[in-house]
Amino acid sequence: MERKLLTLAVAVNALAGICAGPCAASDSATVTVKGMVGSACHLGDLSSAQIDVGQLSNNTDGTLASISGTPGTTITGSWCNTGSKITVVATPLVAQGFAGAPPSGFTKAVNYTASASGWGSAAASDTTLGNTSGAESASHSGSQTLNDPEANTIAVNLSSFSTPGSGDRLVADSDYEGTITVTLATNAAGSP
Amino acid sequence: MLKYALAASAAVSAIVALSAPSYADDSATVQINGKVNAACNISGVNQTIQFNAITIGNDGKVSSGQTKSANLADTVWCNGGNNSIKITASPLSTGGSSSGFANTINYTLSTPLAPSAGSWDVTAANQTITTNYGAFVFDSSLNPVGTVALDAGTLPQLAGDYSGTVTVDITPGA
Repeated sequence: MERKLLTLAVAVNALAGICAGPCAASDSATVTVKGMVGSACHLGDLSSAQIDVGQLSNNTDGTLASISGTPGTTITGSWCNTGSKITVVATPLVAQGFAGAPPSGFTKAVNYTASASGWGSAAASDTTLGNTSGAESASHSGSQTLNDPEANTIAVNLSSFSTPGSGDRLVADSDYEGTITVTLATNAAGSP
Repeated sequence: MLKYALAASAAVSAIVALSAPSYADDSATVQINGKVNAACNISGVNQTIQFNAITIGNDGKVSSGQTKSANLADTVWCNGGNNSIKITASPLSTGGSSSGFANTINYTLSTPLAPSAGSWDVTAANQTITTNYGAFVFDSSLNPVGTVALDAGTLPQLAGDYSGTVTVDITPGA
């Protein structure tokens, strides 16, 4: 009889070990799911990656012609998911085939102002500073900062064409080239 | 064990998310093109080099040392790298003729438009000389002047009005 009591006591203790602590009928666990969205900007598609402004000089006196219209292109589908900064960097139109420095009274470079509008209320613009040989002695750029996310079409236009010296004549060349680079960058100071 | 597996999965997801660009930029470059055709131009043409009365000596011959200068044009320019200037000149002449008298007056022409010609003696009609240039401009700061020095006569000179021409032709070349 004593042996049976001892055996029962051991069995009860074993059951008590399975339910150590609060022993309930159901149980649960909570897993926290986290993620993040990195700050990013994306420039969309250029309607044209090349802008041809055509004949730059007039044949009457050889000086800079009046460039008709406002040459430009558009960038569609651009977005930034945070505050952003749009920057424009332009280089002058420079004669690529004319060897050496231009003769006195002539220029190999045509300057202009490039602007990127539609990204916020103000356009970012940059004016080139080429000398008669086409070189620029200082770096330059134009920018605008937005505090909010933006998704829009950006219009890139050229205007205010000029020569380094007033009345400079342009050397003949079938290929004057320049570039406009538009950069969208996230702005850490912006929201959200 | 299930709890550990879920925890590990969440940790991996967090690492993946962190590896995404946190400050991505994007840029696009547009190429701008233009051209300038080769061209030349002369403005302010029809200049006259006027001698008025040409001096003749007691022998009736044109005296030496008679020189006049004037701009052949106001402005001459070419913007290409391989242009040419052709100058065509003819002696002064007058209508009519008479045996023993000269009805033409030769001259020596010099102009910066034809530097290779130096002092160029014009003794026959329609003499030409061509000079090749790179881009150049002759304007108010570098006048396209022409200087005419009459040659001394070899025969008595026939009376009359004399005229000759100096024609400048410019051809652009890129």
